[in-house]
Amino acid sequence: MTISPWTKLTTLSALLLIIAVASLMIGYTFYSLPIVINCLLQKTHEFAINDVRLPRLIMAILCGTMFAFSGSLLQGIFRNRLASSETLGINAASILFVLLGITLWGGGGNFSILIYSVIGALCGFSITLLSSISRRNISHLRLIIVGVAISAFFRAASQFMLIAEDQKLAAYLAFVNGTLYTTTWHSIQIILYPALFLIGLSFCFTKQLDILLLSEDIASNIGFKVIKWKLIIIILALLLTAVAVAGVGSLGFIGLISPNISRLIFGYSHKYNLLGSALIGSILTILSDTIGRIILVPFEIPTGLIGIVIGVPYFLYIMRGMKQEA
Amino acid sequence: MTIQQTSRFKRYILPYILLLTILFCLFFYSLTLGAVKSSFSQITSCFSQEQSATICHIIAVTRLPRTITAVMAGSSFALAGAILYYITRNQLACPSLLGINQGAILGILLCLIIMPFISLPGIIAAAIIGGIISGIIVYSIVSLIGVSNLKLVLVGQAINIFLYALGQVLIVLFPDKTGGMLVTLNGSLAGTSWQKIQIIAPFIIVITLTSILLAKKIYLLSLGKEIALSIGINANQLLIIIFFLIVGLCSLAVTMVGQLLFFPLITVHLSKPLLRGRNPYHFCIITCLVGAILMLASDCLMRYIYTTQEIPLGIFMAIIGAPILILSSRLKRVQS
Repeated sequence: MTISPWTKLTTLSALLLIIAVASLMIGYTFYSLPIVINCLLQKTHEFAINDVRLPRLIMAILCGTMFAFSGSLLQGIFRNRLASSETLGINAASILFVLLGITLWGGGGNFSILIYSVIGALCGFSITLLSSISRRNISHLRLIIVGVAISAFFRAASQFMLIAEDQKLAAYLAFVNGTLYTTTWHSIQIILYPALFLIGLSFCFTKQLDILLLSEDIASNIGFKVIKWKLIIIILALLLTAVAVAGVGSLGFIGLISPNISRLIFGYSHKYNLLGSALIGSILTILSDTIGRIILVPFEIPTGLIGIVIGVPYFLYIMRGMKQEA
Repeated sequence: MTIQQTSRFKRYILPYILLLTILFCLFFYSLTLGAVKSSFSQITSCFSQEQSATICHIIAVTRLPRTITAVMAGSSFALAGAILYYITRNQLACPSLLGINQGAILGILLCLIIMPFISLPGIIAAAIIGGIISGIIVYSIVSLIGVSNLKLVLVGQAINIFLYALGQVLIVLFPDKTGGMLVTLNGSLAGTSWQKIQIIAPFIIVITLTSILLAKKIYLLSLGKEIALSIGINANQLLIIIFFLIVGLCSLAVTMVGQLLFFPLITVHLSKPLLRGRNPYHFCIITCLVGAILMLASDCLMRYIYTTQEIPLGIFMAIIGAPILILSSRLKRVQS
């Protein structure tokens, strides 16, 4: 008996809803369900829910979705299950450029952060891609190794910036590890419209992504412009990553594992796959954030670190499944 | 006859002279650097006679131990890298990329949280235990997943990141107890003292000498287990000894200077062109020297640029190490 994809999607959405409401309830102070519902309906106003947990929740859903999408797109393009914005060095590069931009031209709290982040994403990705091409060919494992090395490089550079320019960048210390701690309604405003636009745009490309999973010869035989669509989708993935990084910093392996889990559940068709990966990405992000918040109150563990702790075992599991390099 | 002699000179003696001279110069240059500049003549006068000038005091208390630590830590990291390179025959194998260093750091952090006032030997023991445990974990995961050259690095790096995240979590949770580690965590020579050197130096010297004495056997083992067995080497026993040597070197170095990502990789890379031929003794010693020089040179550079600020060395290492990792992952031999 096969379960229809829509049933699976509904189950996942229900799960997301439950976890979302739970994350609003649980925390340093516990609120019962009626209070949370009243707050959501704007009948009462609890600072902890309306101004702290709700923005975090929305940010988690947005950024989780975006990281998951960029992971899905990149994995589709490279046909590589280890590809994601984190393992290709895009996140780290974006972070560095945000820090650089803020130090050089200022403008920490407004839209310019998006521009810095996009430039960083483009730089990071092109460096990774260029240094992993050899003989017009990209080997799967080498791409990831190069990405990881580039990541280490940019991360070190960002730490260097933090230490050297500590008076300007002290507020961004948490940003490097990826956190939802600094999320406010204002920071949501910055990324909301680009995020919604890009997420909506991604759904227009499901068909192209499905075709790209075929071999390049077959794709071009049926009259499909491989290079053109690859380029468009890569740019879309980079923009998604950049906006998400501008929102929360790097969330580690969320972008890597959500597409993989989604593929396990929904198979290869991107129509359901993308939706699933968005839901799973949001669920994982909310979970990491909530775990980070409640595991040892009143301390808060950056979401990105929890993301790494959850993600690395899965990463190793995927590696185990990968065949020896062809 | 003369031709042979000159080639022998070029091959073995010239690199040694070169490296030792550089090391010697750097050693003294490092003593002059700092917030208070001093000249070479001042230093020599400090060494030659009983001087009570402030500068002599500064040199004796902070700069000299710092320099000695740099030499020791650099050479032990490098030696660990060299042994691992020999055993795995993998350009990319590097203890700092396999999570051993990070494991040692995690051990230290845990130890500090459980027993905040533990003395230095306890911390060293914790580092070694942490290194051993993470080494065993890496080894078992790698053998579970299957070893290919490129995969080894990815698996190691994943474990590295995992342990790094755990360490960061500990720092977030117990800032009061782990604060003292924060400086050395990113790789820095700021936390050195004579006391540390006194305790760690004997261990490092013993392990270094053992490794260099074992170099020939390690080389034979690297040719293949069967060959080693046929010559009469107990391969499994030797592998265990090597494992402990590598972990010991790394953990001790980590206790002194913290995590330096890519450092062994860089030194092995730099020292290969210096040596033609495959003499394992020379390889080990030259890598040690190159490691010491590299560590001292980068520390000097950082201190020269930022005189009043302490920039962690590990950051600098990651910046120059990442390109080297990428380059070596492109080498043809690695892919096969």
